[in-house]
Amino acid sequence: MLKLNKNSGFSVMEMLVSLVAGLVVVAGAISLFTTVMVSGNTTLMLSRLNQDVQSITDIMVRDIQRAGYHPSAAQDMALGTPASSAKSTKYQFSTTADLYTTSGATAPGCIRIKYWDPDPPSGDGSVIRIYGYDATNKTLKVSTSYTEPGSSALGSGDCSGGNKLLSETEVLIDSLSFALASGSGATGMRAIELAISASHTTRPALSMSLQRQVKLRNDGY
Amino acid sequence: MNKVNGFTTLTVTLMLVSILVAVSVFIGKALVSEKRIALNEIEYRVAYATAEKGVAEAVAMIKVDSTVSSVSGTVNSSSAQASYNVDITDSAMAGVIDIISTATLPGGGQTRISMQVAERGILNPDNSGPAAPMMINGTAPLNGNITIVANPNGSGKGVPVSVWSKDTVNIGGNAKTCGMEEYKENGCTTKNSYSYNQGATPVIGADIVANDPGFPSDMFDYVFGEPDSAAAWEHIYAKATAIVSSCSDPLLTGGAGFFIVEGSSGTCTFGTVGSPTSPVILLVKDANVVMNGGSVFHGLLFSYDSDPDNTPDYTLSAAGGATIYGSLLANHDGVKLTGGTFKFIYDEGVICDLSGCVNSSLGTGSSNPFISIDIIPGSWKDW
Repeated sequence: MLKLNKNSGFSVMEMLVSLVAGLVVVAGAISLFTTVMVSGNTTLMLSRLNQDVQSITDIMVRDIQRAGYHPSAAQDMALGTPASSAKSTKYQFSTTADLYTTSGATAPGCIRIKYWDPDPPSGDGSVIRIYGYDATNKTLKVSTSYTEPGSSALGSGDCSGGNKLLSETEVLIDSLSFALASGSGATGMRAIELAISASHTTRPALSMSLQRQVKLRNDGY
Repeated sequence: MNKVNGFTTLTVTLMLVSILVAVSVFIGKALVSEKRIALNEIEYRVAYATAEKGVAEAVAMIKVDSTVSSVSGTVNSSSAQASYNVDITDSAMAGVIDIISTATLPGGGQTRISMQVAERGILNPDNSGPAAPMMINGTAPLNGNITIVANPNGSGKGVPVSVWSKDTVNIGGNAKTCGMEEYKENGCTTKNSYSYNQGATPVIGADIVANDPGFPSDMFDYVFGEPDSAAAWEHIYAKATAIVSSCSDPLLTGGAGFFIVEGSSGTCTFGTVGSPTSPVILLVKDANVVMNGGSVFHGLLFSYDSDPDNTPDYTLSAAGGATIYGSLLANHDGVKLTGGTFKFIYDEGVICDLSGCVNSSLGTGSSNPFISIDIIPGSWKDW
């Protein structure tokens, strides 16, 4: 009997100690697991935010650089400063007509880029692209038209239309500006200072800002 | 019983480990793909910068040697090595050069940048230099012992012009205007002169174009080929060899070039500037211009008043013995010639050098200091 009792199980004390020890180990494991999951998720969110902001900045920068390209530019310039009726002048970037500042804003939040693409998706070659910032919905809008540019200045209506460049379920654009770089024009070629800041929709603490100076390569009339 | 207990522990441990491994692998995969995207972007930027370097090098090469047809090289950076190859060809349009720069990465990725450049002179190509050795947007006082040698083709082939003025031309003293041949033979005399002053009676020939309603309303445009504006001044500043604040700056006597004198605190006084083989274009902005006695100037002297209709009226004066080989221009009134001997000699050779004409001793291409290689705005594209 005595022998049997000895082998029958744990005493209460033993069981309590082993339970506590087991709980500590399991708690540690769970907390490690959650930490790994949370940090992994944060890393993914941050990298997604970083990638999204970088890529939309690149898209805009590459478009801004092209502003003003037209194959007949040399021909129109042959006799000096091109006449306003010359075709290539319609594509020139204008700091007054192609930048739009919303009332109350300190810097332009909307830009229009015009250039000639010999192989456009539609139309005969004109590309007009407008990047606008919608402050209410914190989104970046882009609209493209393939018709010959007119002379009218950019208005609020032009800037609010178009498709979203990013889904607001993931990234919110907190600010966007296309200011003319100060001191621009010493050599006749100006630059646009593009500043963008964005944050993650579900974790606003995850945010980033980017600033780039883009030379208008086809400027300098 | 014991066997079963061990199996449960193993199963739970394996499950936990496999979940952790799965999470790590997923995150690792995402990070690797992000790294690949970033590397791709970096490679694009290296290729793009390399292509830009090719373009810049091609422009520099054309400046030295206008017959160059290709440029190539490599760029090494810690993230990628890229090579560039630039084709320089004459465009279908005369005077325009096409530059196509292609950068290639070892992986086969390519970036191409193309643009057009053209030679651009400083002077207005429509005029190829001023029409007369003296052009005044006001009254031209020809006093003292003054000799003006006319531009033989100032008003068309074989029609000489010595003074072109918006208002009257007052001939006094011993003033004479004549042609280059006459000047070289015996100097200007009352017998061979087009215009002169005899006693109190001035004889004014057709070479003096005074009170001309056709006088250029914008002399800046007439000289530089661009209407006077802040933007035009930016272009002019960019073209200048040097912008100095004093007419005694040693740069002015350092050789051929286009110099702007600005902020010279009221008066710009200079002695000999330029030489027959190294003429200068001297643009004096908002200052009184004084040519010292006995000084010799080779080139084009342009006295510019940014507000010619209002005070202060800047003056342009020359002391005795001063000689200008080339042309003197003022977009304002207030030219004074104090007593003494002056010569304003239209020098076709000098004007030819300044406008890079066919016979220029300084060359017709971009090796001429008065001709620059400029990018044609609107010709740049990255495809």
